[in-house]
Amino acid sequence: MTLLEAKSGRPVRILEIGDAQARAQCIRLGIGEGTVVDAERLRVGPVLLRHHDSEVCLGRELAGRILVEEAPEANLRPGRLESDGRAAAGRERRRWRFGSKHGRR
Amino acid sequence: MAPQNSVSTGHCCQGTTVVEVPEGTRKVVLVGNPNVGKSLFFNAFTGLYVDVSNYPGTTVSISSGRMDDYLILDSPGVYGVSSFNDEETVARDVILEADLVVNVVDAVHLERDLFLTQQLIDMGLPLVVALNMVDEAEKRGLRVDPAALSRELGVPVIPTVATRREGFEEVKRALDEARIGVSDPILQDRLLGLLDRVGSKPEALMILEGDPYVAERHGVEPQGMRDELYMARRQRVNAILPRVIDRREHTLDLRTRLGHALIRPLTGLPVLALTLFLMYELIGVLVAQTIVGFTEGTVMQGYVEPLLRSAAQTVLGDSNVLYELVAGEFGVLTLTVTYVVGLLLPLVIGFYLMLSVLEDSGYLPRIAALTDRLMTSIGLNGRAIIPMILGFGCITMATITTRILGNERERKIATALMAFAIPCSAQLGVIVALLAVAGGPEMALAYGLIMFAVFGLLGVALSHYLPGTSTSLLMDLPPLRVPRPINVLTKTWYKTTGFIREVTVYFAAGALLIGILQVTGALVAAQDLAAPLVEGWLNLPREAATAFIMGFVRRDFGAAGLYDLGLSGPSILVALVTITLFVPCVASVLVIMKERGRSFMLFTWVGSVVLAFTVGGLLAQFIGLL
Repeated sequence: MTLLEAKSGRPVRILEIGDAQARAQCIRLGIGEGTVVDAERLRVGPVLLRHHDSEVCLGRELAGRILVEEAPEANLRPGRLESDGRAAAGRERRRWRFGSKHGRR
Repeated sequence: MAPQNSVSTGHCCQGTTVVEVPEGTRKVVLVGNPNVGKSLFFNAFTGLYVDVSNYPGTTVSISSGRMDDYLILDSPGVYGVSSFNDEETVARDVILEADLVVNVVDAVHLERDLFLTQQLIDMGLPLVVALNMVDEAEKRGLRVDPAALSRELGVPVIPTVATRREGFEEVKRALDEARIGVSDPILQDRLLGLLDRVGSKPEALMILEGDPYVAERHGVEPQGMRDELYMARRQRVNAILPRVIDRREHTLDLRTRLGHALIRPLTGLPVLALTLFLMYELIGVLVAQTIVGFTEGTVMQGYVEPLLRSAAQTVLGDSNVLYELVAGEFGVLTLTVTYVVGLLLPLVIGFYLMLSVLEDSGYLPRIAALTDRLMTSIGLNGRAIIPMILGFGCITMATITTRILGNERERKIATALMAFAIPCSAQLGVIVALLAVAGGPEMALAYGLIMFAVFGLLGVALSHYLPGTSTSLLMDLPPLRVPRPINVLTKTWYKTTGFIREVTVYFAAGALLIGILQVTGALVAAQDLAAPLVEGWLNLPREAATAFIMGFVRRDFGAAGLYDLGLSGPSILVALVTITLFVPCVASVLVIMKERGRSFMLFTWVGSVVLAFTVGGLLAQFIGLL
């Protein structure tokens, strides 16, 4: 499916970016093919990709040329977690989602 | 082209020299992603005596200044070195001339920033990394280990907090320890293979990564290895990250939430409406009316113009053609000075001040995101909101700013839309006053709706008929910040002086052109020619023709001319719609010609005459039926 068809507010894995320049720019920004990102489709607006501590806005036309698949897990921040443990990671994920709650229908 | 020395030998003899350097001076280039605090480093290193030059054909400026035996160059913020847009082209050319590079990285966004760092290392440039915003990273629960990062990259890494001037001295001292970092050996082998043909490693990398411009300079084919090299570089950076960053749990802070609220329509649109209203109060009312009233009316027309006129009289004598051209009603000297200094200067300062605040606060990209969908329906993307906003200040200024758009098709659409349907601030002042005379809010609403509809339909039509495809928005959202006044002021200053320097000649040329039209009687002839159309089709008095023709000189002259005709409500509406759509002022026509070419200028010029009389006439006929 394309990024436009993906469920808004869910993590997805980027499979293919169908535009050479956009692909290069995305890789620079930290979003390569294979990267898992949190994707939110903004109402009457572009698609917002959240990945670690950065946010990238993509126009809908471009989003329609990006192939993704659903990803069960999203490592939303870089680096190694100090307080190791899956419970903590899960807690953190929920917090991130809470932050983007308003944009989902 | 002259033979090239390797950049690291300390000589420079490129065909693209940006700044001349005396012998023995080492060029230090500050490189970094946008919004990482590079300019704070530059200011701290160079002090007051800096030189800012506008890179030809762009709105991008390069600052340079001295520090001891070093020449410090600031480069535009980029995410990578290539030639995707003007900023990158300029940054690339500055970087290719560097003797050593200070790479400022944002500790909060290391994943993004280290890509550029690794690219600079792969270029074989001696490097010092300034790890900036370590305080902010701490607040977000990220701790970056500079020593570990230095080991991984193979270059000195200095932690800094630029906003508190922490770490500047350490970075300066580290300049002597700048080193070429750790790069992929296979890549380095490939670069060596190109070196005998290209002469410098940084340029060899550009050619491997398929940069068409650098390849052309050396007469070799660009190689299509970008994807492969980029992915390898990304993987290397991603492998470094867990070895240098420790993170604690962290909840979304207020700023991040506010950032989200600003791009969601439900919350974002009211904020945008409020922002636009404040802008109108500040620029449309305070600057355009109060301040310009003083600078243009009191200072220029009251003191400066009489002075220039009497000076011209002494030299040329009066009542001859030459005097008319120099200091007459549309004299090159009088009209240009009054227009550029009295009218434009305060407006341009006002607009750039506001734009700098929006830019530095991180709100501008969010406005672009918010308006992206609307803009795509007229063949543009969210970035086009920047020239559109500027268009309400000065179409000439906005036309130059269309250089930031993705491709020529978008620049054409934006240029035409502004030339046709956006009233500039000079005109807007008179329009608002006339609307008040015409009957208040209903008339203003009707005018607004008509203009918006024309703008939209025109945009859809242009987008449909112009060949090619427009680029999509792809934009990193910077964090929201309180802008730093000194940055806002310097940016405003450089942009304003750059603009005035670039366009004054066009305003002078425009005044001369109009002066000639007047002296030869062409202006009166044009008025006579337009009169029947104005009377019969627009149902306006014959004299309104003069107002329309004057609109070519200065759009506000035209609108002001309508003021004296004593029109009634509906006629004012017809006249205002017509004059807004009518040709842009002569200076912007000249700039359109320079930026978009002569045939496109003719298209907008003829097109706007046809459009103005068509829409205005239809409106007049419709009102006549009521």
